[in-house]
Amino acid sequence: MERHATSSGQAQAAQTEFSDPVQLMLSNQNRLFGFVLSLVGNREQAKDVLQQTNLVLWEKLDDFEPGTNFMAWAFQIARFQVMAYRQKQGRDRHVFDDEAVSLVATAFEKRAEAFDDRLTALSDCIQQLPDDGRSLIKRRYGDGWSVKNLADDLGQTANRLAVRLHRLRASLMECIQRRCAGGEVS
Amino acid sequence: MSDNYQPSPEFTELLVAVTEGDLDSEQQSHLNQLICEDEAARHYYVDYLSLHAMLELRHHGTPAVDLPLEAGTELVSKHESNWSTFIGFAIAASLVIAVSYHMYHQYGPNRDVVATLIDGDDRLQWENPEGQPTTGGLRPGRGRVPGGTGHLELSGGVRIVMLGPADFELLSEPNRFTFHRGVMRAVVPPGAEGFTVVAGGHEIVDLGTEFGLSIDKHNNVEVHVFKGSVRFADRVTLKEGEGQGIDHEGQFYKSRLEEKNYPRVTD
Repeated sequence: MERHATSSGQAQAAQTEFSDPVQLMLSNQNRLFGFVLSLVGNREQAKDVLQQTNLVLWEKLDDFEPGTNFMAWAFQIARFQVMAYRQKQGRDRHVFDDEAVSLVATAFEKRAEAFDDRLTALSDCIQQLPDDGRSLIKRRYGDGWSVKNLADDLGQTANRLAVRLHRLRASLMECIQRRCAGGEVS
Repeated sequence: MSDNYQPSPEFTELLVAVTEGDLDSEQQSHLNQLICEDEAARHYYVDYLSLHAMLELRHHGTPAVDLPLEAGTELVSKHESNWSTFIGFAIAASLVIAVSYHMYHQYGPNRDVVATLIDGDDRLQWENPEGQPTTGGLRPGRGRVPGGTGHLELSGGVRIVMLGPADFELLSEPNRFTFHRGVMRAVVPPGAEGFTVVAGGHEIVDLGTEFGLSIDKHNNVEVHVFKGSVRFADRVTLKEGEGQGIDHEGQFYKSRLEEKNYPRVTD
């Protein structure tokens, strides 16, 4: 697994602020959830894998060497838990094979330091969406409606609504990128 | 970030399918190939799924950090030989504070009512009692039935009766329920087909039915169908009178229907 010799930004702040591994584990839950979700795709499955990852981290906290990169260590354990979960689920439930898991995990790790900044930027970016877009995001994520049920409720086809949601996500990605690149995130 | 990359319509379809949990095996294979062969697509995928995760986090808060009490006890005693007792207590205190923070953000008072309690109110215990209204319904949150039975009706009309000790989670989704431990029965009325219970990482999807479900401490899950049918772990469809188990290693096994082992839903 690729290990970063140094850390910066939020990750470094978290590591500096919290020197004991329990606090490091708790302060990095959002990044770990994002990491696992990018590998399994499904929120409920991601929560299960994160829970299992936390149990393993908890058991192995004595093995963590203070001063080394906690996130790299935690991602390595999370990646192993994703692979174990995939084996348990059976082949037909896999999103990715081992090679793809490794590539996605490495790509996520390179972006992990900015995860909290981007999460902060997201709140502002959502406010910039048109009212109907904001409402759609809230119903999809906050109220947990599936695209199919939302489409039925709104009298649209599921495909059309899925495309609308995709455009909203793409718009949010661009907004987050602009804000983070422009240093607008405090 | 994936600067100026524009996903193709085909890739867009795959991204949408992933976020909706609708990826079929052919799409899985195609996405896997794209991720391995196209670096720009891979980076866009990671940004897209990171956003998906952030939207989940923004609306539902950080998932609860659920550590068994025994493990907490072990941790403090394990560290006592290396750290001072004071530090042990400090860790325990910070853990309580941090976990409470996560609980608040996941199950804070702004969550909507998703179920009503039919009976068993003196038996239900909530991980975050402050997140639950004193009257008028139940909000999303994790709870326990320490003994006896707990009987709920979800907002979609599904009735669930759990036999304690049971560990469950009410979700904000109107037609989903997570069952972590114990024995339960679900009665799904017409119109609520598709109701899904998640247990041990497996989905039990109702196809118009009444079924029983159990999950033990080893994450072995058993499903028995009393009426109608269910789709179990996305691999088998069980009909009335049939039972199936799946062990913690993902191996299926036959399970004989013993309806008397499941609590009954009373009017």
